[in-house]
Amino acid sequence: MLMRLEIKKSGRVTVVKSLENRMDAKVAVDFKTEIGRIVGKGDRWIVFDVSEITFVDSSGLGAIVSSLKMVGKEGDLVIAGAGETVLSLFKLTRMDRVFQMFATEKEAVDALAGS
Amino acid sequence: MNGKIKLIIDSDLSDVFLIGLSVNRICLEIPVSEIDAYQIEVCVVEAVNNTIKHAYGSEKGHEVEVLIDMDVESITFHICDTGKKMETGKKPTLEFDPEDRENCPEGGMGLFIMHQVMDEVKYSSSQGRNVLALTKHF
Amino acid sequence: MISGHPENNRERLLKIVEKGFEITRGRPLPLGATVKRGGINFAVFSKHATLLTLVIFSPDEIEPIIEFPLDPRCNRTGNIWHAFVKGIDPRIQYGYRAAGPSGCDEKFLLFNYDDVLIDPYARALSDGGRCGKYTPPPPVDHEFNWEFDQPLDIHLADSIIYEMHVRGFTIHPSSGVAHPGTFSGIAEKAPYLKDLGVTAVELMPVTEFDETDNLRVHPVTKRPLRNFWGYHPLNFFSPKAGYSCSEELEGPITEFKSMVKTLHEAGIEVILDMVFNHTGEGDKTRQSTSFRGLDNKVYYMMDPDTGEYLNFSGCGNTINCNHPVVRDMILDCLCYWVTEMHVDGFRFDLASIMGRGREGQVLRNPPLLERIAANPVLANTKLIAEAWDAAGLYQVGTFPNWGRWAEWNGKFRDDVRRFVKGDAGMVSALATRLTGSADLYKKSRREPFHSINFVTSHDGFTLKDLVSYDRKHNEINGENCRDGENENLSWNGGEEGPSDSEEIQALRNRQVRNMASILMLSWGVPMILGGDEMGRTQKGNNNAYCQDNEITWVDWDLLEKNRDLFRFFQRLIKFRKMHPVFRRRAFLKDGSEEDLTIAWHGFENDRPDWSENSRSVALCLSGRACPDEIFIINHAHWESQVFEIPSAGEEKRWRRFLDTSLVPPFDISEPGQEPGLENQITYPVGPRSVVVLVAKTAGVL
Repeated sequence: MLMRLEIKKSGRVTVVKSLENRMDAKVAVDFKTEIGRIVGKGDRWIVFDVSEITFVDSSGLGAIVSSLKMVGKEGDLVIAGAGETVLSLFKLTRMDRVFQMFATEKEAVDALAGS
Repeated sequence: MNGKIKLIIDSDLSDVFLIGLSVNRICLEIPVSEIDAYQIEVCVVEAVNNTIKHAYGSEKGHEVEVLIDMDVESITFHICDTGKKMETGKKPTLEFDPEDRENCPEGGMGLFIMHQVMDEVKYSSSQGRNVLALTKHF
Repeated sequence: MISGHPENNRERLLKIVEKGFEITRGRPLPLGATVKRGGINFAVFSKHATLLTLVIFSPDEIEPIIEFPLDPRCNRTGNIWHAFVKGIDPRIQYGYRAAGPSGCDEKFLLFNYDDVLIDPYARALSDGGRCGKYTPPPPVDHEFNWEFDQPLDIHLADSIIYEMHVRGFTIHPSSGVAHPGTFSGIAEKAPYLKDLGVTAVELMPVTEFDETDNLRVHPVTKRPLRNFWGYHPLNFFSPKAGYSCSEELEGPITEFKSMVKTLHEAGIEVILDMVFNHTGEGDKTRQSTSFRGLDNKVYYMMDPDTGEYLNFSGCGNTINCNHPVVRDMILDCLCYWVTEMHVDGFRFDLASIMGRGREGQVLRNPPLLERIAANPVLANTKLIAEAWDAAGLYQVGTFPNWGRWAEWNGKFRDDVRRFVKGDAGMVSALATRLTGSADLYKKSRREPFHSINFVTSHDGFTLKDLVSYDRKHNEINGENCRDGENENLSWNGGEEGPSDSEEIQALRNRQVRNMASILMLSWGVPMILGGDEMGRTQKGNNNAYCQDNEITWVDWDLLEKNRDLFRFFQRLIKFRKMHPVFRRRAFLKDGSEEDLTIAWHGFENDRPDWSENSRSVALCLSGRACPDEIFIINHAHWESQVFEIPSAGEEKRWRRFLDTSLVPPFDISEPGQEPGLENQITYPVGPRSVVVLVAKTAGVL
């Protein structure tokens, strides 16, 4: 089952928005593949819009971590639009100390565009 | 299997187990594993506990309604109350201390477990009536 | 921007993950953290948790980097939670958090998500020092070159056990070892142990425990007391980091294995004292470190109605040993120590608890004990039970055994102590103890070697103190001397404590030798308390579990001062090894032709005095199983006595092996070079003495 994602570019920043509610083992692989494809093209400034997501399980978390690694030091992968559950999940798992998190996609894009 | 049933208890934590028993028994009739049945029971019990504690401030004398709705491929639990709404929505500015585990949204661990176990978790509130809907597909 | 300080953990995280990082389902077995195929498989049991989170730490850091709550659907099989993590540095450290159903009955389940819990199957707990606080363990994939190490397979009947405390053995500066108080220290003393002649060391608890777990204070120095002995396990698979001089996480494992290898090369087996009756988690008021936080109801015995902990151990909790899951863990643990660590045997502390069911009931056929007895991997492993518990259950002679289990023979200790100090009515009992305690072991269809004979152990007085004190002196334990055994069956010889009287000193020296002789020349397996061979004293403290100082440390200077005592033990051991009669594999069967004759004597031949007032008995061993006849006189009476000696048999002459009333170096001779006796008819025995004569063919040296 392919993970439904909406991908658009805004300057040097690529916004990857999940249209799925749950990010779990089924979609984790797809997510990584997609990020891999983006990074492969040379795009390293990525905003992951999670506003539709209500839950991420550990394989989903693993995929996000793996993606960060793919992006490497010359770029960044940040999170935008995290709702209540995702926010608390990120806090619970300490992911909030690894990823920059923004309330809206716009803020995230602005932050990555200039830096 | 198709069917609906409404269970109502007083907002008394010591009566919650009756809901748990009923949910567990019903889950034995649907095609989910024993572990899943246990987990579902836990979720519904969590939700009812949260309702009593947060919507009603642990005060007795109020009603907690659990509506169970089954169809051929899913089961949904609606936990309803007429008490205080649960805070939802994004918190735009969040000054928090990463060490502080207390600073979790309503329900804390319980809500998280619900999201882990159930396929859909939706909260809605209208005209003084709050409903938490938990759905499991099978 | 919402979050604060994202940079903190990002660097640390990126250092430990690779591009191929992923978390997948994993497998429920084996339990623990197993490194394989480019990843780590984590598996941990919890029946009652509703949420289990894998917590990852980068090496040597206190704060976790990242946590993964496991999905009960995909990361769980039955009651085992598992995950396979790929693309992560294997040197990470890990732990678990567990949450239970909220409003769950806290009488029975105690989940606290704030606690990071230790995996029960952790192999190496990093404590990095002696502070007693643990950072969670790494997964372990330990490589070690055992070279040609193989089990020594020394029959229990041929064993001579030396009980010691790992730290106490070499921590004193007088030990002269490179790494005092460690496994390496013991390895360095292998030549000493070989010289003494023992065939096995029995190490007091070596798995991780918190030595700072003691709220009491030394009444004089005001320094905090410790838990020195270590009967307080936090985990059953990791060798105590504080017993290793290594700074590395897997260092203690390497050091332990090296120690075993070295001891094996010296012909010495390794027996471990295992504490499966309670854990160091204490009662419910204490913080959970592992078992309680993962699944309280499964790991601990409790009242089925109130959830209150049952306390058969006297230590706050009791492990639910016969629960199927706990049984599995114990078996896995024993097999691990045998297959991976090459251990040769186990002594089980308060083993009667291992025969109790989930609600504490005494079981007729305890599944756990049966499984241990029957497990094929453990078939040649020595199994020794301390066959009682702290709640009054006493099973010496009746421990469920399937013909495999040996026991600490508490009756041997008691009867020999009584006899030697001169109590009336002990002669029959002594005779029974000398010949393998058939009343206990033949009756339960076992053999003499299932009796582990001892006069002293870590519990109670040392041998030197047994003859120097009438009463215990445990004031420095901080409990107003309320702790420790009151009935020590000891006798100070006329003065309490150190004495200037030459007469009393001579008496004490003799009594020590008397007990050593009886111990070594009895059927059954002798066990010596480490240090007794050099006259170690604890200054009358008979419960020194909390003293981490000169009271419990072996003072190697005593070896020089008491060379003659060492030599006494050494020669006794050699004599025992030389004469198979003391290492009998089977009790005499009634009425059939036997290869051994035991004749009992009194002051006169064939007239043993079994009466109440008798304080002496002699026995003569002869027959095909005893080609050199042996005549032993046990004379606990305070007056000297001339004994008739039986005739030595054709062309044989009696020679004297030992006489405890003679002054060293004449007290004992080199086995095989015993001096001949002029008088072959009678022998004058001094007060309170043991005499051993051996008859060899005249002309044979």
